[in-house]
Amino acid sequence: MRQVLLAVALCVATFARATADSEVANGPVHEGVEVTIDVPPAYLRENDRGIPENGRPGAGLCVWASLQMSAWWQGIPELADLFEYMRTQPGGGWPARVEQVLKARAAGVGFVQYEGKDRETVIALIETALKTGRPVCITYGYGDFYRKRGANQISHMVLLVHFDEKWAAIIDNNDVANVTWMPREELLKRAAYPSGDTWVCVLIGTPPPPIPRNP
Amino acid sequence: MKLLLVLAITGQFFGSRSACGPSGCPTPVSSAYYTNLGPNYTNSTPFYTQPAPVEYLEPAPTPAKPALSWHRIKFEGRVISVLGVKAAPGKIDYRPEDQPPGWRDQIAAVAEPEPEPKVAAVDATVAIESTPKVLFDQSKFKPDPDPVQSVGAVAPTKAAPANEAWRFNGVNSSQIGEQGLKAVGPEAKAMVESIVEGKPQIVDDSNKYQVSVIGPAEATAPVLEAFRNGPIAEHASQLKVRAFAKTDPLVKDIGLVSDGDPDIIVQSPDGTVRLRLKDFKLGGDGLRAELIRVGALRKSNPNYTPAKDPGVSSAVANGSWGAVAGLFTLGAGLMLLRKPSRAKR
Repeated sequence: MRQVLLAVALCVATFARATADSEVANGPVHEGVEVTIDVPPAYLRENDRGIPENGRPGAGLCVWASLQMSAWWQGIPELADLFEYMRTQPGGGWPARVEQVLKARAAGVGFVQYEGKDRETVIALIETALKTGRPVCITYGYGDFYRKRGANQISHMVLLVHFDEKWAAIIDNNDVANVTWMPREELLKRAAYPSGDTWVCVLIGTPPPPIPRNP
Repeated sequence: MKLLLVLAITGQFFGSRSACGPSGCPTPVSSAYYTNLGPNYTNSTPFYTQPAPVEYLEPAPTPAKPALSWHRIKFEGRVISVLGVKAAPGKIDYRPEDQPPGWRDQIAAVAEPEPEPKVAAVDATVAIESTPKVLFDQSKFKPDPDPVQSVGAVAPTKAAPANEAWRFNGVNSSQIGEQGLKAVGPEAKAMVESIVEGKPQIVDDSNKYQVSVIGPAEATAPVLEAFRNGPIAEHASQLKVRAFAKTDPLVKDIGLVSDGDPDIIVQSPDGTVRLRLKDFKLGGDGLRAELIRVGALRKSNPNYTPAKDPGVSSAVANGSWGAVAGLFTLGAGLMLLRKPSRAKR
């Protein structure tokens, strides 16, 4: 009897651990860490979908919502209405399409994209972009937000706004009311899930000024 | 009798399209009508293959618009209704403009899938090439040994509503590969090159001073012009310059003052305010001087003389002339020394 109880307790403990959230929906400060890029509410862009195409209802615009927030943050006027434009187009996004649209609508705007499995390059690109005040649009294959809605696997893009040695934080265009924090390694896993490929896109604009202080 | 009635109604709905075959349809339809509708839209109606008239007789009648009717199509396990034309067996052509108002919302509201056999024959050509991956395929779920720290580790708690699928799948994963880094624009290329070299220092402008020009567009425009084409243009790359409206939360929320016309605020990289002007009366030259004074721009040394620079090529030249001058001086000195000795004699 004792062994049965022990086994049950073990199962319960395992299940409890398995269902524990690996992310925290929080504000711009989490465990004393302040988010690197604190996007104000007015510059948050919630997801929507594009027009139907070839018999399909419109696909999601998460790629363009993430790019829109990045463009607003960096004051890129050529892309001020990017999302509104994409609402009139079929939804969905991938690297080649992003390049095509950005070149067509903002020819003078620089951007960097990476797609692949090289973890070190992904980290270098993320760290450098955030160091210079630029958020990172990054793929996102899993999230507790979605698991609770029944999806163990998603094909999504979010805006990465913090990435230090311990923590990473994103703004999910499906949940813009929160800053979602998670361990750094968890973010890297989610970005490459499930195929192993990570897609990163960084717009090159002028970030806003730092928080002022006296000399 | 009922059979005849059904046949008559069916003929009303589909009569205009039912005779379509490999050589085309009997009812002329403008090919322009279906412009921009994708590769599958008109390929079953090759009007352009019909022989052109050899003799002009009279203006051709306006092609009739094809009769639209409701069709049911299947998408991601859901059945939706659209107004369109049955272009071929298993193929429905439609366009958004033909749909009734609120159509998109109606699609979103359709959540319950219907039995498979009713629509199986309709869906053959509807899906586009960028079909998203399976949404809720539990069979592909592989738990990780460390669930808390890994993705996809937890079993779903409930079935996902189908009408939220678009929220989960905006990235066409099949289009993401191993393309590596790609940069567009000179700054972005510099960023990529530096990473390839193992130095993740990109457009590293994190050490540049920030100039925020705050005010209405007519007030900020002359300041920006000074940076673009005016006296500060040649130094603009040393700074990060950006204009903001007074109500912009990116400056308002962090406490930057905006009571000037315009405010010009210069901050060092750590945020320290080095200069704040409440107008642009100084003009471009005055602002440039102020930027130099506070260290935002590198200033030149008035005592510096480029001609005095040491260097490999110039050193040879200077050394030669120096040797000549030295020899001349030495010779002159020797001459002077010799004259007194003659006088003694």
